[in-house]
Parts: sequence; structure tokens; C-alpha cells
Amino acid sequence: MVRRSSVALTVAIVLCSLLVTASCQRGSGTEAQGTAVSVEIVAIEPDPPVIGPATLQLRLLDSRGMPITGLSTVEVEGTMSHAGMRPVIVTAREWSPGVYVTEGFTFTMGGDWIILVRGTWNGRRFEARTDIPAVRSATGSTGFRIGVAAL
Amino acid sequence: MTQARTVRLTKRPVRHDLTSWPLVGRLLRWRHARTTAQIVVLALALLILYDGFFGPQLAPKNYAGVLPWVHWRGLVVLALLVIGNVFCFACPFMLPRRLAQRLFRPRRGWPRWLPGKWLAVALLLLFFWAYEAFDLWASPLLTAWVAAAYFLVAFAIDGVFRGAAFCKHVCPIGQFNFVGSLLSPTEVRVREPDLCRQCRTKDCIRGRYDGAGRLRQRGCELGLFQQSKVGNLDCTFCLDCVQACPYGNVGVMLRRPLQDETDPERTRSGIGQLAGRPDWAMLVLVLTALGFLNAFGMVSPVYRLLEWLSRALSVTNEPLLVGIVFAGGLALLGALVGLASAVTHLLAGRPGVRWILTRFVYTLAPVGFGMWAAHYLFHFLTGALTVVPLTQSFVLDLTGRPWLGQPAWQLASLLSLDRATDVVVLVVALGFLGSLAWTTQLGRRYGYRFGAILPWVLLQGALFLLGVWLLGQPMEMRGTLLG
Repeated sequence: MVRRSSVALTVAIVLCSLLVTASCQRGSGTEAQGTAVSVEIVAIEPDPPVIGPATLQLRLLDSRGMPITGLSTVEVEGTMSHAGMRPVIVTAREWSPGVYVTEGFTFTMGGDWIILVRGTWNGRRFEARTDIPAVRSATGSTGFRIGVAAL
Repeated sequence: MTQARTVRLTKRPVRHDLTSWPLVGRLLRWRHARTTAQIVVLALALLILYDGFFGPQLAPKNYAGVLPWVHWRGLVVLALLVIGNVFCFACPFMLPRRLAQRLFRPRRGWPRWLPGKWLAVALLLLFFWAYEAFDLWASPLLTAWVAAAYFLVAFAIDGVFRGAAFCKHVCPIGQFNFVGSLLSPTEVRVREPDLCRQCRTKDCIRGRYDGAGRLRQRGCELGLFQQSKVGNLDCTFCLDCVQACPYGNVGVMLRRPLQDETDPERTRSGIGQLAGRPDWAMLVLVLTALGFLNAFGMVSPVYRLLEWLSRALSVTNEPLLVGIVFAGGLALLGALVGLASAVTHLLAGRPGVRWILTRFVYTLAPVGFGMWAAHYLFHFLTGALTVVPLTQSFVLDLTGRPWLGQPAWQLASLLSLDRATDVVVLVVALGFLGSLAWTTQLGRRYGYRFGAILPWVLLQGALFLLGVWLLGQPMEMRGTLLG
């Protein structure tokens, strides 16, 4: 009985240690890196955004708010707040200093979109995030928040 | 006294008895089968808790966003339709519950002022309202909190009350599974009813004790006495009765769904007559309404309705608006059920409206579950493979090396959108046919003409068409992440 309890205790301690160790790494991944580089939407075509092909103009900024220039391309991933959807992953090229324009991006579904921009700057990988709320579906709904905001 | 690790069958094998099949039967009869399955699911639950609390707070990139809302829900309904209530069988919440029972040895009975399913119905409503109002699907952290709360509540309830109080009276997931298992092709049942009549010890309900009076094997904690058990309602597939029966006379049988369970006046062990259980009637009504409301919450027209409601009522509080939509949907279905009962009463000219309602309301269960299954299967069929890049990303984050390769985020669907839509429409159609079959069976049983049951057929048909319309609508995802 004592032996069994010891084994169970050891397994529990090892599992807890693994989880704590792992949590540090998992939690300090892309989000922490994202604080060094931020992204903002400059323009979306069409505006307001609807399901279908779209062009995003994104401005990349460093921690001081200065444009990040000279990255030939960055990877742009469009995903949704709900799991289980295939993300849209395209590249974006620098169009003017610090502004990057996507190529071949498509909103595949209506709703709230999350845009992740990944690249390498000063030799370090970064990931920055921004949101595009209420992409309209083909039926023309403007989405709840826009509707409320218009009240 | 030691107990055999595997139940020995005393009768010759029966073809439709899964417990007599090679391999599968041996597994089902294995004493530790359930615990093993529970440990596997517990490991997944711990993964969800860990990633939900500590992982990236973006649902598609987090196990707490993917496993419960894409895989677990889809696999639950799939299992209910093609196997049985295997997710209650493998329920990980039962492990802390069992610990609580050992620690506290509860003697207290479930409070009489909280009978039957009323609390579970209230919790179902609360959960699905919270799901829509706070976008649980978009928040790994909230999902992890819900899972943690589930563990704690199961531990607390069964640490205080004897039997399977949590499963029988509290667990919303369990009630969902019970109603869904009406359509399952398997059932835990006695093999030879004559043998049960000769049995004096009734171990399947009382449990088995050793010479010193210590419990060696639990009987059914949900109060389902095998001899008079009917169908799957309230059965968690724990297989305690299979283990407890000293004659190996309880098995998992293949069956034709909706054959033995459609008579609401048949007395069922542990339940009584469904016709005399308003809590069960309410459970079926609420689950049916929620099935459609839950799907409605994910399509484009819900925004227009919320926008209109917001303008009409001058309310901008989203949880309140969602509550109003829920209350309206429930009230509408309740009113339609009442109307159908009244018209049947008028046309049949016999028993009262309430009498008809408490019998025919159960016929909504198949079409309601068909909608749930269609909705959850849609997400599963279009998103099952997202777990692959998520796992690759998880390993990469944890170890810093791509042991499983770079995340292949382009992986998502098992079927194309069109094919998945075809499949789920078929599932709703099957649910509708199930409701139709149940209604006509009841009509025959009570000697009603087709005209008298027509209101129910029309109601079920309307729900079916509503389901098809919902499945054809463009999806739109809201998210508090963006608020």
C-alpha cells in the first residue's frame, strides 16, 4: 500500500513539475513576442469587409511606435475566434515604409476575424495580432456590434 | 475474497450481445475497462485545463478551444448515434466523484425539494445561455474554468449525497446524453429475463458485498433495476450491473432504436412512467429548443434579430438580449407544443390537453437531437484535422523544437463544406423521421386517426425545415475577444 502511494505521489509530482515548466514556455510564446512588434490596420478593401477576396494594408510598429521597414515579406494569417476553421495564410509585401499589403487574402466566413502577422525582424521571430470585427456575410448583416454602435 | 477481473458469461453467446463478442466483449466485461477509459479522457481534460489556463488565449491555437468545442461535441453525438452513451462511460468527472465517495462515505439522500431533472434543466439553460452570452467557444480560459467547475461540483455533490446524485440530478451533459441515447443502437439489458426472476440477491442494484460486509462491486447507483429497466434513459453505461450480476446475465445488446422506449406509460425502473414525469417532459422540450437556438446563435440572421431587439427594447446588453432570445425561443416552442396538444385533443375528442402533451412531447426528442447532432457534426467534419497543427504547435512551444514537424495550419476539414452540409442535413432528416415514427406509433397506440396526430407531424416538419434552413445559412462568429 505504501509503495503504491509513493508511486502515485511521485507520478503526481513529476506531472505537476512538467505542467509548471511547460506552462512557462507555452505561456511565453508568441504573445510575449507580440509585445515587441504591433500591427494596425491601415485599410481594408472592400470597406466594410465582406466575405470574399480582400486586400489588407497593415502597418507594423516597434515598441516605440516607429514603423518597421525593410522586411521584404511577412506572413499574414487570418483566423477566427471559433476553433475548427481553416485559417487563411498569405504573404504581404512592403508597399510603403512600414506598410505591408496582403496578396490573395480571402475572408471565407462572416464574423470576427483575428489577423496574425509573423516575420523576422532584427534576427528575431515575431508575431503580432490585430482584429477585424464583423466581416459581413453575403446576406448583408452588419454584425451585432456595428448595429449597436449605430444606435 | 477476490473478484474475477473479467465477468464470465453463464449462457451461450447471443449474436446481438456485444458482451459475448470476441475482443469487444472481453473489453466490456473487463473490470477496469471504465476506469481505463476514464483515465484516458481525464488526461485529455487535464490537457484542456492546462492549455486553457496557461496557453495562448486564441481558441483555434489552444486545446481548450479545439478539443471540447470541435472534437468532444462531435464525437459525443457521433458515438450516441452509432455506438451508445460511451462518453458517460468514459466520463472523467467520475474519478474525483469516486474519490469523494471514498473520503466522505456520504449517507445523505438527494433533497426532496429538488426532485428529478429540474435542477439539471435549469443548469442546461444556464450553461447554454452563458455559452452564447459570453462566447465560451472563443475563450480557452472560460472553457477551462467551466471544466474545473465541473470537476469541483461533481466532487462536492457526490461527497455529500449518496448514490449517483450528480449524474442523475445535476449533470447537464449527462441529461443531453440520456436523451440522445434514445437513438442509440445499443442498450444495457438482461440476457435471460427468467434468470432474473429466480435471482434472490439482486446484486445488479444492491451491489455485491464480501463476507465482512464490505462493498466489492457497486450496483446501479442511478436506481435502474435491470429486471424492469427500459431503454437507455438515466443509464450512464457504467456497466456496474454487468460486473455485479453473479450470473453474467447483463450485457450490452444491439437493438433497434425507438422500438421499446416509445411508450410513455410504460413503467421504467428508476424513472416510473414518462407520462407522469413533467421534469423529463421539460428536459426534452428544453433540449429540443436549445438545439435550434444553439445553431441559430451561429448564423447570420441572429445578428439582425439582435439588432432589431436592441433597437426595439433600447437594450445594448448582449447577455440580456441573448436571454430574451432564449426565453422567446423556449416560449415559442412551448406554445406550439401546447397548441398541438390542444388541436389533437379537439380532433381526438379524448383525454385532456395536459394528458396529450405529457405523452406526445417526447416525440420531439429525435428531431431535436437530430439538430444537435447536425450542428456538432458539422463542426467536427469541417474542423477535425485542426488538432494536428495544434499538436505540432503545442510540441514546438513546449520543447522549442518541431518534433512533429512545423504546424500545418492548412489542415482542417475531413469533408468539404458542401459534403459536410449534405451529411448534416441527412442527420436532421433522420431525426425528423424518428420523430415521425414515434408519433405514428403513439397514434396507433391510442387509436388516433392521422388527422389527430397531424399537428405534431406539422410541428416536427416545421422544426425539420427550420433545421435545414439554419444549416443553409452563412455562419458568422461573434467573439468577446474583440469586445
